[in-house]
Amino acid sequence: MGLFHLRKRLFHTGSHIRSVKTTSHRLRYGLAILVFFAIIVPACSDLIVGGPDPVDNVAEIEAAWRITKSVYPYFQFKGINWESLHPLYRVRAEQSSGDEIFVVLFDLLAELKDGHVGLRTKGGYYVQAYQPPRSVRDRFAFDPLVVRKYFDRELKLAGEKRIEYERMSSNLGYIRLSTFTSGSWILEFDAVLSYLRGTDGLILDVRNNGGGSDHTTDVVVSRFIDAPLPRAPGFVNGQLQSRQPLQPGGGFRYAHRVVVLINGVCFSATEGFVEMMKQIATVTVLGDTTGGGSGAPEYFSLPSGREIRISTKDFRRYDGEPIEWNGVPPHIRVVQTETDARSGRDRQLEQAIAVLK
Amino acid sequence: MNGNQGIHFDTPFRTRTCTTMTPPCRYVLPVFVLWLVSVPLLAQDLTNQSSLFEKGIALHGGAGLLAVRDEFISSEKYSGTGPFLAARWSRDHETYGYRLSLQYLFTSGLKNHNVSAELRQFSLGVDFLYPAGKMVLRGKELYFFAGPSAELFLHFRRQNIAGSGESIFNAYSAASLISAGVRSEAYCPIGAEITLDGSSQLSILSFGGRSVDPRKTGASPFRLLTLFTGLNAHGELGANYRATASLRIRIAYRLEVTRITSWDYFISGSDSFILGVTYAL
Repeated sequence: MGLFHLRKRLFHTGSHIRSVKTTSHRLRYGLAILVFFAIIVPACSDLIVGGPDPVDNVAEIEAAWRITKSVYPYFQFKGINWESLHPLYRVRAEQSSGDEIFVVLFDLLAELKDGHVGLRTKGGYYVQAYQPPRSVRDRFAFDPLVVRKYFDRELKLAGEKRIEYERMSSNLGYIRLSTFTSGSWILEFDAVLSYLRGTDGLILDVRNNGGGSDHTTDVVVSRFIDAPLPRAPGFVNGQLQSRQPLQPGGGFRYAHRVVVLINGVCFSATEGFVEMMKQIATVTVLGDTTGGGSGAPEYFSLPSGREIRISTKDFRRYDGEPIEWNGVPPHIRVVQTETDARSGRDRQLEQAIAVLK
Repeated sequence: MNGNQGIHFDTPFRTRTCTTMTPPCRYVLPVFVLWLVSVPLLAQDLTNQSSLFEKGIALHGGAGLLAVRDEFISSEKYSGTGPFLAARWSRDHETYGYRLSLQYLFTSGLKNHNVSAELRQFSLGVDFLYPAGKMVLRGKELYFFAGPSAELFLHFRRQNIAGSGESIFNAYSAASLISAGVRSEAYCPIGAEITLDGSSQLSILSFGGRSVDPRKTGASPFRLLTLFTGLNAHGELGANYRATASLRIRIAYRLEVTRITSWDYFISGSDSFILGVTYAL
């Protein structure tokens, strides 16, 4: 009786009982759904994606260390004891797992403090291991849009938009070469120079030009010489390389005065270009010392399929000093800062115009 | 006997060996499947199943597990958790339902041991769903919808490895697919307010884009892909609760897989637990 009364008090009618049954039914469904999700959620994607191919991180570091030891030309110049680094990095490789090897490899390559050195991911993304300090300092100190303010007309483009040129109001010519990357585009330099043939002087702007190919720089330098120009010394494995002098080229020689504008972002083949231009009597180099790197880098494969990029040659200035780290200083030093560029002023270009007037 | 163990087809002119699907086969078959699935559905009438089709604006949020292997960076697997946001707009017409969906997934905690990566994944989809009949399963009616779908999928990954000095290891990798495919959905009402649902979507033909190494000869960053070389598939299992006449609450599980083999191998998978609301318009 007691239970009957209790039940009657709790559920006055049959419809209430049905309501409770429905609620219980829903709860069961809800619980089943939650359990289902709890089981399934953590599992699938991880299984589908699967595990990695095994990569021997120690073999990776060993290969990088050995390759660098066999080809890198600047250990002595930079005072790097490469042998002493081997045990340190081997231990780090042993302690690394998976892609932690990226950090170890990156740090090993950064020991060279060489702007040409870096690594490529398996798919080919290049990561530079070191940024030369002058390159970091000057990277925003030059702005091509600021240069345009010094012209009363729009600059012309040539060579797949890698050459920008025009006459200035003071009958000076201006050519900006944004790169020396290899390709037939540089052959258009001939037409550009012809366009500026009647000018009283020429500004050749290679600021922020990160380099490229010596063949490309040769095309440009050859237009300003009237006799064979000997090459600066270069060493491979400590042996002096013999290189043929550069011959004059093109339809005519630009004989008026030339100012070459440089800064700390100029690197690699561009530095070789600047050093050769410095030897020409009509040329004044103006701006700030170049970045300091001319190691003729090459790619070498590691066991995992990654690649490292290592300098292989020691190119020197005409005075015998390595271009690496030292860079090529200008004849006239004109400092230009990021603040100048932001305020719309190009001090180096202004000074170049003053020199040529 | 040479090492080629393929099937030999005799033709009147010559004997040819087919070890894998030739490019024309790869394109014809998926288009045929798409046609086969889509065409019979066009004659169906949505009205009798209209009440089941989720109409209105839906906002979904959740969290999930992610796993990625992208051999453009390395062959290592990265995994982690991340939030998931999605919005859907659906409406029905006389003979079909139409849905526009957006989703965004982001995580900065994708890890491989002590190395991490950031991942952003976005997709924009358009689906046309036609009633595809019903069946009875253990006394419950199960209603099917199916139809063609198109999807834009974008995947972007950035490595987080700080180097020395000014150098920062910030390798990037990207993948994209613009896909045409098929989508199917099933609804099972289990009460006046609760409906269980499931869906699956499969890309059949895609226009794919990928980070490539420019030094590799012929490595174009864009290619036409089939489901064998560029697959984007996802499925959901969920439950809808009708809280009011115009408001539905949804709880769901979503599995998404993207696999691209035409360039450096890429596979990503995500399991997401989703909670959302739908406001019926």
